[in-house]
Amino acid sequence: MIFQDAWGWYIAIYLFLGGMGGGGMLASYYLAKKANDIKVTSKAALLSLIIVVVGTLFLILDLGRPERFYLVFMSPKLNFGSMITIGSMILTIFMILGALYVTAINDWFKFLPWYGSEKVADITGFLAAAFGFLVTYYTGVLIGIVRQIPIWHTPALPLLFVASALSTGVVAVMWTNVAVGIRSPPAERKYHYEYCVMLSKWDSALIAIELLILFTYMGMMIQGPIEASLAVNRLLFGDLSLMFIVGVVLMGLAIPFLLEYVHIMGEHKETEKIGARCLMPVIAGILVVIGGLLLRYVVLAVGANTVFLPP
Amino acid sequence: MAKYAMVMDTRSCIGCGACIAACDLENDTEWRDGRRRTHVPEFFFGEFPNVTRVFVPRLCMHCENPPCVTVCPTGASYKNEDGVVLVHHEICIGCKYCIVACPYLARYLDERKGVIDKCTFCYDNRVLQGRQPACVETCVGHARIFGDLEDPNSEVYKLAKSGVAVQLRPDLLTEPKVFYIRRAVEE
Ligand code: SF4
Ligand code: SF4
Repeated sequence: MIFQDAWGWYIAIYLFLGGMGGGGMLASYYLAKKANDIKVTSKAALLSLIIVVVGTLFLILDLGRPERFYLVFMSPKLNFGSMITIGSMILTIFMILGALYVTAINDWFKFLPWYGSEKVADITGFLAAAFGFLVTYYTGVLIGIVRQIPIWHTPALPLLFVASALSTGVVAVMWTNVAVGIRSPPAERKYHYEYCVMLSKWDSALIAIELLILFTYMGMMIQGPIEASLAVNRLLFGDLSLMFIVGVVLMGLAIPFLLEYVHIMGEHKETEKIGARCLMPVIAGILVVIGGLLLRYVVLAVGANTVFLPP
Repeated sequence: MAKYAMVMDTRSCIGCGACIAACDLENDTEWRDGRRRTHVPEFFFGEFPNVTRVFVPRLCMHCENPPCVTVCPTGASYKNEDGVVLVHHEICIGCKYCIVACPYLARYLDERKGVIDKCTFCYDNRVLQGRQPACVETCVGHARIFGDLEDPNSEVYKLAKSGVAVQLRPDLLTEPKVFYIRRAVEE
């Protein structure tokens, strides 16, 4: 049996950043609607957009011929059924909508005629959030459709990636919230602190869902097909076990969940310093993000190729 | 219109690797470890002292339902009218999706050109001129048999249709057009 090595860190980084940015856009829009917020949302949506753009650069850099990337739109024989073609379109539409949304709400773009237009912000915000979700979903489908690699070819994989993407996306919003909160006048800090608690609630719920999916995924896959059970074996006991068990499961999921839980429970503690009050979820966020990246990498790395049975 | 296919007689492959060398000379492959169009891996069966060693030569199976073509975004990978799976090098972007999707480890990224390279059955350079692929012509043991699956008089037709030669991983429904004659494992 042979583990695939065509796709390594670059694609892992792309899957991760695509997920984080797409999820971040969805989370920012949700925050805007739920808390009627604009200050944090406008910055968080911009951050999400940048994250997706950087992720896409990694995708392009991974190509054997990066200068030919335009062929995924303009090839004379374009294959509309390929997940890379579909994904590139989703990414492009997302970036356009995201850019329109950000420039409509972020006051750094005051000079643009559509800045401040509620109508533009409403429509593009909703669509950008929807396409953000599609980006997160597509990162899982991209490798999920590869039938010959059983550990990828399961509905659990896109779901796992969506859960991880949304959770890292919430982290992007949380970081933005704290960064904005530190700079705002003391009177407003209360709101940012409340956002911290709210975002921690969302994130811990997503982490719980992700753990459930991951547990089910691994538990089903270890029962075979043979390539899949050997892949799980490699994750649990092989050379990737440190990265998987410590990096993904403990550091990336279990510990941040506990940190966020403690934070939510400790709501009453009073201090003026927003940075100190939100320290726990911010640290939890760093761990979640590292775990998310490692998750993409190990899942790619254990993509086991078909066993060649000698006749 | 033909349906080119190959039969591997694992009983007469001696693992000399002449096919690999012939392929490289004919097609200028990158020829680093794993970066070539055909491979001759060996397998061992049984326990000492009753061990059998089998060579199972491998190349692109020129699948009738090639997953490499399904996933290719730019349409660089395609199956031509004679059933041979080829790559348009000018529009391949080197995304490697096809490497990941191919169950038979038939593809590699030619790092000199940044595009995919794989077995062509020597389609342009030999088959169109009525010659055999380089690996077939060079094989010492006559372990590689090349022909047209739609020609009832051809050797490949007889071997494949009679069930003497079988496909690798038929469960994947890729309908590979390289067939293998099983070596009888000695008791
Ligand atoms: S063996 Fe691989 S490269 Fe060849 S046609 Fe089948 S899927 Fe494509
Ligand atoms: S590497 Fe080339 S041939 Fe393979 S899927 Fe990408 S564009 Fe197509």
